[in-house]
Amino acid sequence: MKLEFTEISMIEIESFYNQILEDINKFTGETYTVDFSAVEILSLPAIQVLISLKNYCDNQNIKLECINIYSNSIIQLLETYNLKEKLGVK
Amino acid sequence: MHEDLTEELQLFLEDMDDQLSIMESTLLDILEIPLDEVDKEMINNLFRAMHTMKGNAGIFGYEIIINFAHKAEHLLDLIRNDKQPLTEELVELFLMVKDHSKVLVEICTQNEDLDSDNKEKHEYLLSELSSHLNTTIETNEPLSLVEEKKDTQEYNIEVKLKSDFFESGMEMISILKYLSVIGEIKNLDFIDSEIPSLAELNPKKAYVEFKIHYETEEPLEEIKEAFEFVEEDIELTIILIEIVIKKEPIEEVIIKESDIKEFQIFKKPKKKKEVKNKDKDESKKNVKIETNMSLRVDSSKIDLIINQISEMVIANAKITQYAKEREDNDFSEAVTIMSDMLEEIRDGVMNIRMVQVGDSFSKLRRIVTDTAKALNKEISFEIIGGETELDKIVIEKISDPLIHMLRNAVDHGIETPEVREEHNKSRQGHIQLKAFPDAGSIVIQIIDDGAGIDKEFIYNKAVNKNIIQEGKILSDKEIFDLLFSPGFSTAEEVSDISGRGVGMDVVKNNIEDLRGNVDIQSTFGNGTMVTIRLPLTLAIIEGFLVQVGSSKYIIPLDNIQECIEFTSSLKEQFLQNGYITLRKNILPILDISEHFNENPLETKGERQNIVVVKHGSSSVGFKVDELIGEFQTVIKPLGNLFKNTSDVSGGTILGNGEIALIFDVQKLIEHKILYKEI
Repeated sequence: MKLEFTEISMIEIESFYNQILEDINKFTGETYTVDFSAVEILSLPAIQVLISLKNYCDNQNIKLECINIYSNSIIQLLETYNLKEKLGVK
Repeated sequence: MHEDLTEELQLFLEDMDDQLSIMESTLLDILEIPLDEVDKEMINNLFRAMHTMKGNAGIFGYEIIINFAHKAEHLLDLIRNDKQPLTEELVELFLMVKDHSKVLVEICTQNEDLDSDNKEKHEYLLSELSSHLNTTIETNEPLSLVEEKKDTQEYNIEVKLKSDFFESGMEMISILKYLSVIGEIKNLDFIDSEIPSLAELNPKKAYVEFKIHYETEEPLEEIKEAFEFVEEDIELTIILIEIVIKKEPIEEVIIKESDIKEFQIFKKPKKKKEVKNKDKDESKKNVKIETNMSLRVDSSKIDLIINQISEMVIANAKITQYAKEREDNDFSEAVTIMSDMLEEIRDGVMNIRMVQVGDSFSKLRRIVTDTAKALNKEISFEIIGGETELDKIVIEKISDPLIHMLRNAVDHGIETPEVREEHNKSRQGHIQLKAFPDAGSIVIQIIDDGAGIDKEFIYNKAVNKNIIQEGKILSDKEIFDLLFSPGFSTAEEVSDISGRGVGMDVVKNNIEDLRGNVDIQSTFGNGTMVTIRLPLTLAIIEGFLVQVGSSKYIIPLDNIQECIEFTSSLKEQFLQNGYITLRKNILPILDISEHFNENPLETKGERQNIVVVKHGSSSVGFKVDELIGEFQTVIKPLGNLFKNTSDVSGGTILGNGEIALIFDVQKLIEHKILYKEI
């Protein structure tokens, strides 16, 4: 799934969550990828959604991959929270 | 100006403003004394202000401020530790640092970049600070070694976000970044076990917690300050790790986490050095506790409570009247108790708004200092009565008029040192800013020992500008009042400092908008005194209710001197002259029923009354039909429909639903005396 948001803060969080929820419910493959190429800013609420998504994927034997993270601030955020590996950041 | 900012950012701005004010007033204090008399506490004040600014900026991730403040703080640290001598040049530098910090706060909170001028200034100041840092320390030890001597402490910090955390608008990452500035995050565990399944997740709620192993040289208070803006939105536990240094590697003493509730700190046993400093530490702790007793509250919340209490005052008046009519003693007693309590609550809440004028006055010192410098004048500035309390809104609104008048005092009042010497005065002029309570009002005076006002010059200028007709006889007060006429400027040359041709009329209007008045007294050659009289508060007044014709009016109690019977002999005097003689003094009488086109009540031989009112030095008697009594009242603005009604300052709703107008005593007196209705 390619995210169209440039920022996922409290303003966009519900929309982001609904998109993820809708998309993953339809997903039938083995590796679910979330493309962050357009996203520049990520907030903690968005990270919570991603972790919940990761837990869901684990339960469904789906591999989660977060790809194309180009934004330094997102990389720093994930590094600070030690979540790069957990969220399958490529 | 910053209405769109979050509450946290507003608090940040207010706190930064406070710190900048502390810096400025301390630096100005330093400038006024010989440098060898500057005590450590003054430098500590500067250091603490800069340190707090750095901390606050860190919480919001404003790196440009953090780095700038860090350098300034470092230099101040060296000065307070006698590693760098304090020079006049450094004091000037810190004044520039203070000014520039204000610019940095503005651009950061507005998400803007520095413009080229400010960028240049930023680089200049950084290089100046660096150059002083590089030429420091007459010690054999390099700075790094000096710094290394500080004790580092390790902490376990647990932060559990409350479910509404995200509504605070704060980002945990900013707090973590700040912690990284003042120490080192050795390890961070992101605990996500409470995050619900995807289907059950509420994306706007917070579920996570953080366990941080942290090391810092900074005191515990500093760590707590990192969480200051979110303290209500988190559960925070900070544990000082007990470290026992043996020959073996460091051993951590495990603390039972089940014992930890909201916020507990476990201290390690004191080393010898620490025991020695125990008293000092305890006193520091006490100071901190005292600081925590104050609470910063958004003023709009207090305004809301005041409005609600105002409505309660009106409702209470209605109940009181109802109780009187019922003649039920128990009910009346209960109402009296409730009225007393309401009055206490009202006074208490109003008191929250009251702030000392000193803080606001201190900011004006810089204006005087800078203006004097620009004009090559030598001026000492004195503040008296800084502890006088006034409604915060009044203080805010009076600030601009005071700035204007102080600039005038420096520009037009105080002479140059050479001129002063010619007139046998000391080279240094003196300006005093004074505040004191007086008869339910607050009086602010600006007194200078300058050239005074040349009445003849003012008069001629007013004639030339067609403000008055030539030959008109004016009293001293009337001549000085010409200075408040629109477009009147005495400055021969318009300068940046003052004398722009507008201003004093705006000053007067601003003061009158606050239900205050301004008055000038001056002796040519000796100096000028500007007196501003302001109400203590804007929301509620103690009034005296009177009946005139079919309407009720309220006279502010503070203006009332006495009530006298309008006897037949006084009536006779009034009918003959338009005034009466009261204890050998002439008292002009204003017939309120005539003035407001009311039909006077048929009193049928009952007593008629004069209410003697005073404003400033003028007294007038108001002829009214009936005296009803004291009445506590809430001022309600009259709205646009009545904007041209100048003799009433507002209205209020009485207990029975009737509307009563509140007299603007000053205007009514002016009307009677200046327009000579007598």
